[in-house]
Amino acid sequence: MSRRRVLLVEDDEDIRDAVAYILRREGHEVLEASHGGEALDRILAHGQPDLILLDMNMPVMNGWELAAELKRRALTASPIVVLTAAHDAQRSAVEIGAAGFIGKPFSLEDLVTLTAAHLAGGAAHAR
Amino acid sequence: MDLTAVLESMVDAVFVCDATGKLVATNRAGLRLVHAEDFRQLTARNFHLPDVRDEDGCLLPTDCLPLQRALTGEEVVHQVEILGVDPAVVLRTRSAPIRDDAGAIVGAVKVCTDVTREYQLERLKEEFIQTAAHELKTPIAAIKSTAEAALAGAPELSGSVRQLLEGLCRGVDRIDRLIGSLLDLVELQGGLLSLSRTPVELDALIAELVRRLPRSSAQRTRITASQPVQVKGDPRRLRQALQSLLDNAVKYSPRGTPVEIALSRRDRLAHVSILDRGVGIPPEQRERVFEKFFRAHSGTSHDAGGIGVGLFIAREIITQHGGRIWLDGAEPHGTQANVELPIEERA
Repeated sequence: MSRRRVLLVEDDEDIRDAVAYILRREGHEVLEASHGGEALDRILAHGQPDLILLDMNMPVMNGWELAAELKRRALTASPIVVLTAAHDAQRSAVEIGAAGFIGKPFSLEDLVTLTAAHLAGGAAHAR
Repeated sequence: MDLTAVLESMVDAVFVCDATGKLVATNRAGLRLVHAEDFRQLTARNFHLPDVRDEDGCLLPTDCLPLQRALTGEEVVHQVEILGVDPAVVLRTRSAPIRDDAGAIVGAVKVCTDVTREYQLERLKEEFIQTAAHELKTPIAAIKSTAEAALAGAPELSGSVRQLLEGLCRGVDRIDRLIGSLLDLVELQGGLLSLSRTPVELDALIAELVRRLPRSSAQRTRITASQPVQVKGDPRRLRQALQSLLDNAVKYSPRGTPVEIALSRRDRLAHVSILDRGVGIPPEQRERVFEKFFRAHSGTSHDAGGIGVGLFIAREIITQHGGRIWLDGAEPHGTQANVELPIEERA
């Protein structure tokens, strides 16, 4: 499998560092953004990634707003996996039509498995 | 003493209707509640109590109104009724039929206590717990991810450093479960837990639970019987329920004594038993441990801490899956926790 590009959108720098580190170790290319606005800039500059890992509650532009903005611009090629601390992570995922979700705090092992499944395609029911 | 004077002086509102449901009497508090100046004005408007809503904000249909239900012979206690919006008045009402000497229902009486303030405080408390819990989850995720990244990133770590980091991860997991319990309590207060329904391989779930135990507990925990068993339900919730039982078995039995887990099937029921050789729970407390905040060994030398909600939530989860959960004693001492769940036949 060629090197896959993951866009990691997360406002907590420590979580972002840890997740980016582990995904790079898995051999993925990782673009980082600290909110939806930065994520949009990355997508416009680098094209649509193979996967978006998206936190929901963020400053400037949150996860729901980014998902809506991507829809408005017809930039919907990348599957989205929601990362959220909300008790009902699943509901957030359904609301924005995401391919999957994982609740915080997650184990990096689970995140790596989930990421691999979605990058392999057709893994809406992974986990 | 004149009963009318007593009625008029009551802080609670009282409404009385006849056998046809027509309002025939109220007291001063009742008039105040519906903003009527006198009883004639109230009956002229021709209503019992208008637009009564339940706790979910749904309008109660006429035949579900407590006075109407009381007319059919039912005693309706602890009913929450909400009047109006902005400001809404929240009432806790009790309604009962009025019978004549022969026992025939001739009317019904309803007493309403204004609990608006208590209700608002309760909401505030729930919101606070939800916000605080949510805010705690992000730093917890940061600690856990960082520790795990360090573990994964440095295979050359010495054994003891690795153990320390693993301990850090487990500590964080414990905090996360406590927060989860608080959120579950809030959710249960509002009614039901939200459950998903997917096929769950019970044998794999149990194996994973044991695999993720801390080392000293894993060493003395054995799966003595297992077989492929599939149930339908919420994997996260089922794991949580079994985890509570396993945590208790480990927590309340001395180091070095065995904890045995067995999975079997009986007809269309899956049966999980978790046996420990600890101090055991007296027979009269084996049901009480499933009550909210009840802790069997509270304040004794066997007190292992905790907030006393694990088994309460576990029972809710198992019951909502159509199953049963209970404790037995073990000979010569110890406890056997049991869970029974309906089996989903494989397609």
